[in-house]
Amino acid sequence: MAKYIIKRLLVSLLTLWIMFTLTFFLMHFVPGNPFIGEKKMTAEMLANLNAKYGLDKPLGVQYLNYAKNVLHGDFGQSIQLIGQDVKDIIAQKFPYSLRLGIFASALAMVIGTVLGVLSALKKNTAVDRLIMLIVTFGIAVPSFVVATLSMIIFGVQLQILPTISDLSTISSYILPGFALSFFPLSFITRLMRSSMLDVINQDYIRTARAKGLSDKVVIFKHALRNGILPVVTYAGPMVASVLTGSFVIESIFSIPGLGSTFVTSITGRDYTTVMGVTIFFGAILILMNFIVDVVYRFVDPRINIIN
Amino acid sequence: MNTINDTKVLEKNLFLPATDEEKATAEIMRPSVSYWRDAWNRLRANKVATGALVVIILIILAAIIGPIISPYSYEQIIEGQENLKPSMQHIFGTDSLGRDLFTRTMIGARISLAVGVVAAIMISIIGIIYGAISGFFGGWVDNIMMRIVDIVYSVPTILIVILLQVVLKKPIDSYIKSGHAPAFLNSMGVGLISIFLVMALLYWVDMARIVRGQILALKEQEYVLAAKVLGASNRSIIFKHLIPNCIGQIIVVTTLKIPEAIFTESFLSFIGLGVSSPMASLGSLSQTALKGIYSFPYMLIFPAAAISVIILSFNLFGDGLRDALDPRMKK
Repeated sequence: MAKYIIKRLLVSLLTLWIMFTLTFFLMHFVPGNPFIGEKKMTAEMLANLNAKYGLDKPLGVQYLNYAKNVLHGDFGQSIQLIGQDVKDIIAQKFPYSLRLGIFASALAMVIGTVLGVLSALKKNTAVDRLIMLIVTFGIAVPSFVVATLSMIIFGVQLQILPTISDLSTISSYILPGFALSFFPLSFITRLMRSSMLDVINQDYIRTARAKGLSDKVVIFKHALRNGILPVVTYAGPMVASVLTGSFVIESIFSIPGLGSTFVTSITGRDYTTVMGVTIFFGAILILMNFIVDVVYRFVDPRINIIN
Repeated sequence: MNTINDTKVLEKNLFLPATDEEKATAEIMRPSVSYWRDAWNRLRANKVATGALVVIILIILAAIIGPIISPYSYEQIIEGQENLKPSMQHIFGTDSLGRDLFTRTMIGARISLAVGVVAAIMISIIGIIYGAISGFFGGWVDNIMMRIVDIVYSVPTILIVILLQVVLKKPIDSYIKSGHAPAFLNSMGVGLISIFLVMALLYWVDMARIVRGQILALKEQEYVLAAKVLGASNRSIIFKHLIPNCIGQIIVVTTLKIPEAIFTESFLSFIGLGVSSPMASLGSLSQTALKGIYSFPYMLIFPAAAISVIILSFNLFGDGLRDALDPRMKK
């Protein structure tokens, strides 16, 4: 187990390093320099600015400097928002994204599991078909479509939910949270359904029933515990999906989170911010995948035997 | 000796010619069903998949014919007809610049479909070659190639896609403007070119893994040994014997990559990184529509519905195709 964790940790660190290096060098392939958009500058002023930001040094030195700064949590200053540290932007905006992300993930986990179990237990009935129909749509319809359509219906036409959200009230979580969780929710439902159907047909469930246990005990104590395992593995991809979704959802609902900031810094070509946020998001994703992999080994010891 | 004893046991009547009756039992009653015929029959029996296929064909036809029969062109600005609601004249209405939305949506569907199909084929070719080489040669070659796949797999794709888009925009732009670029690149525009580039760079790993797995199993088969003995080169074994034998899976994965590519393109266009005006894709149309969502919600409904229907029908068709071509993979 310890060997596995160490191995997995090394791979994660390697991936993170590759991502960091890729980000750094890609950003340096951008022709021109970050100050080109400024007012007319003399060569002297440009040289001063370059010296201030260390851009006059050789690329290798810049790389090491940036790596050192990033390890200290310093991503440099934003090019667009003069005088603001990217670090501060992240610290200020990320809590919004985190709150919305946790809400959406919890929604997806809970509702997805319930719907999945329900449709497995009611296989081939109208309930199952209805759930499968909704879920098939949930997987196909992009999150920005879900977000904008639900915004038109509940925000513009019915006017019962806010269309602009700063996440200060519970009602302002509903539309963005729903839009963000629709895809993972649908995915979990499908995963849960097929895994429950798998488990229900196994021998130990027959034994449990033969012992005369009630349906409730068989389902919740015996079947669900094994059936839920695949959902654990989906936790990593779910974080990726919620994160990606947050780019569009936050922009649509004008939530002042890191996702919408990322999108504006992309369109504004704010290289330092794009770079900083990319590394930050990448680190979160890689960390989550690592945690999920390790946790999965703990909850399902059978994997160790197989490998 | 054994053999002599054995021949003594054999009796003559075992060697009589078969009667007509006996021959009839061994006769093949029906024409043998080929793999493709069998798959086609299974696919046709699947109502959902057939329905999805019909929808896909209708959408492709609409995307080809729609802009041709429409009296307006997609970039034509009709002054005095801005922000019109759907009517007989403009069945999907017009946008804030007075461009006909029906034509633009059809052009957008054309772009989205083209991106999906071209990207899926490109991804597949790269993935097939990579996976085949890795699986066929095995050993340390396989080891190194698969570690690379692992890393590409664990790197957060969408972040790299965005990053590459941001970075590639300027160089591609200056390359196009330099006049050396082929004409087709010019008409595609920077957004589309970089979408294709990033997909070619990052999205082939699934295909590579699947093909590798198949090849690993197939290369142990006798016919590969026979080909080797006959002196066939590695290349001809891979391309003539191995790859054709995993064609079913390849088709399925390629089909399922189409909606993924369309999804990615619309996502990128939606956050402003894909197709730029006056060109239109379904994602960029949705993004433009979002600005006027309070006053003109109809502008969003058509492109949004089109994306959803396209992705949904490709997903359903792909699932059906998987069940038909590879029944073992059936969930």
